[in-house]
Amino acid sequence: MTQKRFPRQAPSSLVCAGWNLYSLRKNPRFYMSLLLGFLLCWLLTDKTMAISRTYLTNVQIVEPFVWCYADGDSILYAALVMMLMLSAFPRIDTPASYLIFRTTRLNWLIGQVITVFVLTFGYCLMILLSSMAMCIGCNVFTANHWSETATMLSFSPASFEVALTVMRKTVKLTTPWGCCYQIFGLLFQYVLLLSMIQLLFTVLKSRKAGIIAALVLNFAGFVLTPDRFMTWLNLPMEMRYYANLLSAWLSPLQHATYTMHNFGYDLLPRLHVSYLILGGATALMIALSMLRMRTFQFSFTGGYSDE
Amino acid sequence: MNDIVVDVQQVNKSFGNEQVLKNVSLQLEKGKIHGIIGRNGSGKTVLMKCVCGFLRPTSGAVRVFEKIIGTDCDFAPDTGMLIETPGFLIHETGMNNLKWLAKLGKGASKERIIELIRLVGLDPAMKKKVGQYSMGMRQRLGIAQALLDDPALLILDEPMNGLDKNGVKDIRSLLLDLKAQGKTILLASHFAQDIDALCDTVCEMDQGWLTPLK
Repeated sequence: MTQKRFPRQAPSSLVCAGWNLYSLRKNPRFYMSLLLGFLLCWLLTDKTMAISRTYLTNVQIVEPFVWCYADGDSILYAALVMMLMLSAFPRIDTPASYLIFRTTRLNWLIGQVITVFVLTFGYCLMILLSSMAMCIGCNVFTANHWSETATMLSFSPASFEVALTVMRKTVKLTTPWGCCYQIFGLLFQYVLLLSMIQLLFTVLKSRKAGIIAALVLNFAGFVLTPDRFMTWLNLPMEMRYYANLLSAWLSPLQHATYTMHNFGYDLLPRLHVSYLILGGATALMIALSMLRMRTFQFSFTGGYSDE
Repeated sequence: MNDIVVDVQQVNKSFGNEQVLKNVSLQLEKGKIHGIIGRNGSGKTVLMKCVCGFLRPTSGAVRVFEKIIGTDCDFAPDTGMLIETPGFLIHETGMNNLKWLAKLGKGASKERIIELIRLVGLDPAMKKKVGQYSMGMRQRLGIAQALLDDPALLILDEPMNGLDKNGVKDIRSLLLDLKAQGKTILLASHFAQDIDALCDTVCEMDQGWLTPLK
């Protein structure tokens, strides 16, 4: 009797990714990370939404996201929450060992990379949707032009009240949806790079090394700011532009910061250059992880947990 | 046809400064049960992981079904393994866990999964999650997992761990049935009775050195 093959044979890397995602369904850390991401979004956007509520001005639906995540600090916080979600990746535990044994090292690694891609994209999307949800209760619209609130924040002293990054050139040169796509892309690429650095150092050394490497990248972003360059190089205020240049080119976090880009009249990196740098670095991390996988030592210690 | 299923040649394995396997050589003949005894930390599990392909030897080579592990393939072909304490997705049933594993490898059928779960003495219809399983039940599920693809070689590290008297009897009987079907089994155990009752050849691992006893 010919037995019906129960599973439809999918590429094994997709099965590994599917298993990883399926195993998150009941993982408390996963839900805690999502909740933290949501809370962070609420805390960051609330101060800007307060302007709309105070002055009863209308707001475009993606503006809260644009105002908050055009800023390097917000990206840094969001990336730290994502690190918590990905701290269990790559899966190198006993339940995963049965899966790994049935495929190849490369397929297993590709499965981990797919998982991280999906989770990172999902997390960034959740941040975007959460920030949109913050508009509930305000006079909100979806049309592709800036709101009265955005105009106020960009061209009036009100912006100083909420300590927003300079948005004037953004409002002048782009549209809300266009700006939103770019900020989403930069946020996604930065968090993805961070995750891949974590993956590389985990397979190179250990899980602890992976987390430390990701923290070091975040710390570099935290340290390499224009203000610090001004202090280190003892630059006067009129030379701030050079500190901006150094920071924008050297700091990975500034590459992910929308407002630190060239919109046609300075020497800051252009958006496509930052995409290439972040994307290239991510691809390099994946390629190095693949090379390392050939000799990686799987050290399962046994156990019942699926963590 | 070559009757040597596993050929371990002068394998050394070190972790940092600690040498865990010392010039280990071992040949496993087809259709026999081969036992390894040794104290905890003697290197049995490391040797099994090298044979499976999870660990790469520092020097020497491991061949399984004439394929060099790490060169010709990543992991031992046509092999089922249960190394150390079995681990599964604890919020899922045993059936669901095996269904996921069946999506890889030879792609076992649903009927095969049900048959295996029954074979190791579990109930395929049981709704209990693996997290609520006793140690013996997990061990049984681990053995079912190892048999999923109907492998020609089985590598089992302490398969009797956590089993009660009847469980040990069932698994011993199962292993003898598998041997009768022509399967080759590499078995590590603390219990001399398992080794005496089941194994055709026996080696002892002591501080990384492997010595034939039988």
